[in-house]
Amino acid sequence: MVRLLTLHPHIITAELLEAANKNGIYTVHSLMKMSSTEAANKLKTTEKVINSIRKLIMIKYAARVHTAKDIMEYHNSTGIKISTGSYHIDTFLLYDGIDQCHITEFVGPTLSGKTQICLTSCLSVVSNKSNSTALYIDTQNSFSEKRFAEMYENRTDCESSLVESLNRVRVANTFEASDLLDLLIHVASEIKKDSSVFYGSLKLIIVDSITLLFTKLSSSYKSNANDPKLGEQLMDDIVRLMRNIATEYNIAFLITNNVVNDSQPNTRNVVKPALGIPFKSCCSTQIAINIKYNEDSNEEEQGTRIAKLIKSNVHPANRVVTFLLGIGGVQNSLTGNDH
Amino acid sequence: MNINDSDPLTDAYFLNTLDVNHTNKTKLIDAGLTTLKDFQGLTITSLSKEAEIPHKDAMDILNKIREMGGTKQSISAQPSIILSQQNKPTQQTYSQPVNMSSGLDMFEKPTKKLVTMCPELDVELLNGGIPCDSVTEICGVPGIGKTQLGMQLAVNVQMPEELGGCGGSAIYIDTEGSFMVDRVYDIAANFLHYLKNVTNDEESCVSNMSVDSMLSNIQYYRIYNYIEQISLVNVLLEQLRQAPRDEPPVKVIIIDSITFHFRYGFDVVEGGMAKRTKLLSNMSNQLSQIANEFQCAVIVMNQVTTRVENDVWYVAPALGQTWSHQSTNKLYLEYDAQRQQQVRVTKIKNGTTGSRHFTIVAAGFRGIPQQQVEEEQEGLEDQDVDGIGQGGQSVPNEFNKRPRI
Repeated sequence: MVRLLTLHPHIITAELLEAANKNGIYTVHSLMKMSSTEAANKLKTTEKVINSIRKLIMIKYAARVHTAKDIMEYHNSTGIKISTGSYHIDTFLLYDGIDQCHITEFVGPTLSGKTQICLTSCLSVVSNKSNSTALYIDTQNSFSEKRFAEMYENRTDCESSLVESLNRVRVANTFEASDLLDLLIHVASEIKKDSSVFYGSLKLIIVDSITLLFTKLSSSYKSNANDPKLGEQLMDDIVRLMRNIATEYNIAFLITNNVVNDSQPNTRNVVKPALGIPFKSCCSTQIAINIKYNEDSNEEEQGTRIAKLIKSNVHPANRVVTFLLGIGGVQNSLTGNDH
Repeated sequence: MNINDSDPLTDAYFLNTLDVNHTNKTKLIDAGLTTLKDFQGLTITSLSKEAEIPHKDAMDILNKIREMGGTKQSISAQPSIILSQQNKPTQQTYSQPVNMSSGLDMFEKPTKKLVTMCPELDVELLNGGIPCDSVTEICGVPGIGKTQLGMQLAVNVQMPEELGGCGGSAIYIDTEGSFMVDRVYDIAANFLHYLKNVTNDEESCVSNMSVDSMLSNIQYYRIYNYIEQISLVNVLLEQLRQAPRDEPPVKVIIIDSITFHFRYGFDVVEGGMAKRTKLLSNMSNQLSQIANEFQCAVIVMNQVTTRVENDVWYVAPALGQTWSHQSTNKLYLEYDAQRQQQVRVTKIKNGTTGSRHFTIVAAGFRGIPQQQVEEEQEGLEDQDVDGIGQGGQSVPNEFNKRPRI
C-alpha cells in the first residue's frame, strides 16, 4: 500500500491531496479502486484530471519489463566465474561455477568440507583480476585467514597478489538472525548508494553457516506474546532479502547448512538438511556433501569427499561427483566423477 | 541509512523494528506507513485516523519513533504534538551494521594462542596453541585426562604476554565436581617453575607472579543442574562486559563438562530431545559470541557415547548430530592402537589435523616426543598397560632425565 502523499507534488497537487484526505482516501490503492467519475466527484475535479493522474500512477508503479537478451547482456558484462575449486562440481553440478543472482546451498555433516568450499570460492573471487570483492558472513568463528593464505600459496590460478586478495575480503561475525537482517539491509543500502569501492564490486556473499542463526528461533520454545511467528517471519524476511539482493545487484549467495537426523520411521542413520520445510525453498541449487567412505573397509578415504546434486534448475538431480580437500583448498579429484 | 532514500528492497523491515502488535502492523501497512519518512509530520490524531488504530497505540508508536530518533521527549496527552520537529534522526536508524574487518586486518593481527604445554601439539598441529577466538570441543573417554588438561589450561592462560602467552585469567565452570584445588596448586607451581627457568631473574612479569596470584586468577563456578548451567552462560556475557579494567582479562572459559547435566538429570520425555537440542544450540551460540567478542578461548569438555551402525559399534562424541556442528575446533583425547594416550585434532582453525601423544605427569599435562613414543612402544608390547592414570605412575624413566618441557 502506498500513501497518496508520496505522489505529491509531481503527480497530484496539494488541493487534490487535501480533498482526498478529507474524504478518507489515504492510499493509492483506494484512489485506483473507485471509478473515475466517483473520484472526480470526491476530489471536486474533472474526469480528465483523474485519468491523467491514473496514467502517471501506472507508469510509476508498473513492473519494469526486461527481455531475456537484456538480462543475458547484463550478466555477461558484470559476471565473473566463481569456481568452487573443483572442476567437476563447477561443470556437472553447477553451471560453470556458482551462479550469480541465485542462492546456492551446500549441506553436509560436520567435517564434510563446507567451510573449505566457502574459502576456496572466496579465494577464486578475490584473486580474479577483475577486482571483485567478497563478503564472508561468519556465524561460527570459522574464517581462517591463515588457511586462506595457505590456499593462495598452493594454487596456480591466482591473478592478484596475496595482499590484494586479502584486502578484498571482508568478514562479519554475526550470531543472531536479526543481526544478519540488519547486515543485509546495510549491504543493500550501501550498494545502492554506490559510494564504496568494496560494495560496488561485490560479487559473492557467503553465509557460513546459516543454520546456527535460526536454530535459536522457534515459536514453541521462545514464545513471543505479540508475535508467535516471529522466528519464521524473520527467516522469511532474510530469505526474501537475500533473493532480492541477488537478483537486483547480480550477486551470488553461497550458504552452508547443517544436517539433522531424519526422524522418520524406517530410516536409521539417515540425515536431512536442517531448518526444515520453510527453508527448503530458499536456494535454487542445493548440493549435499559428505566424507567418502571406502565401500569395502568402511573407512574414511583421506581427503576425499563426495558431492551430490539435490536440487538444481540446470542439471538433473542425483548426480554425484568426487572432489579432494588438499592444501590448496578444494581440488579436483583424479578419478573423475561417478554418475 | 538516509531516511530520504526510499528503497523498496529494504523499506519493509522498518516496521519489524518498531515492535507493534500484529493487527496494528497490518493496518499500518495497509495505510502505506512503512518507513520512517512516512511517519514524519504525523500527529497522534492524524495517525490514528489514517491507519484506523486507537489513539493510545498511535501514541505508543510515535513515542517509539521519537526515541529511535534520539530525542527522548515524552508526548503529552494533547493530541497536537507534531513529529516534524525532527527533520532527520540524530543518530543512525535501525540498520546498524555489524563490525566488519577485512581479511588483511585479520591476517596482520593474528589471534592469541593458548599453549597446552605439549610442544608437539602446539607447534606442529595447532600453530601456536588453542585459538583464543573460538569454541574448542575436547572429547574423550572417562579417565583419559580431560579435567587434567582443563586445569592445565586454566594455569597456562596466565603466561605473560611478554613471553608470548595470553596474559589473562580463567573461568572454570565445574559441572561434575572433578576440580581438585590441590592438583591445580601443583600444576601452577610447576608452571611457574618452568617460566622462571626459561626467563632471566630480572623479568618482572614473572617475578610478580606467585602460585597464590595464579590461583586467584581462576574464577570457579560449581554447577548442580542444567538450569544453573544455562543461566550462568546467559549472564556471562554481561558479566564479562562489566569486568573491571585493572584486572587481567578473561582469556579462557573452561566448561567441564558441558554434557553431564544434559545426560543425567535432564528429563528426556516425549519431545524432550528437541528441547535439549534447542537449549544446547542456544548455549553454544552464546559461547561463540563470547569467544568472538572477548577474543577468549572457550573450551567445552564433552563425553563419549557408543553408536551402532550396521551392527558395528564405535565411540562417538555425546550430545548428538546438531551439537557436533557447533564447535569451531575439535580435539579428541583417546588411546591409540598401542594403548598410548594421544590427542587427535580433527578440526582446527588455522592449523593442521593429526595426532600427537601426551601424558599426565605430576607437573600436569605434557607431551612425549615422537622418538620416545616409539622406544616405549617396543618395550610396552608385553606389558599390561591399564595402570595408566592421572597420578603420573606411568612416567617412564627416560623422561625424568630430559629437562622439563
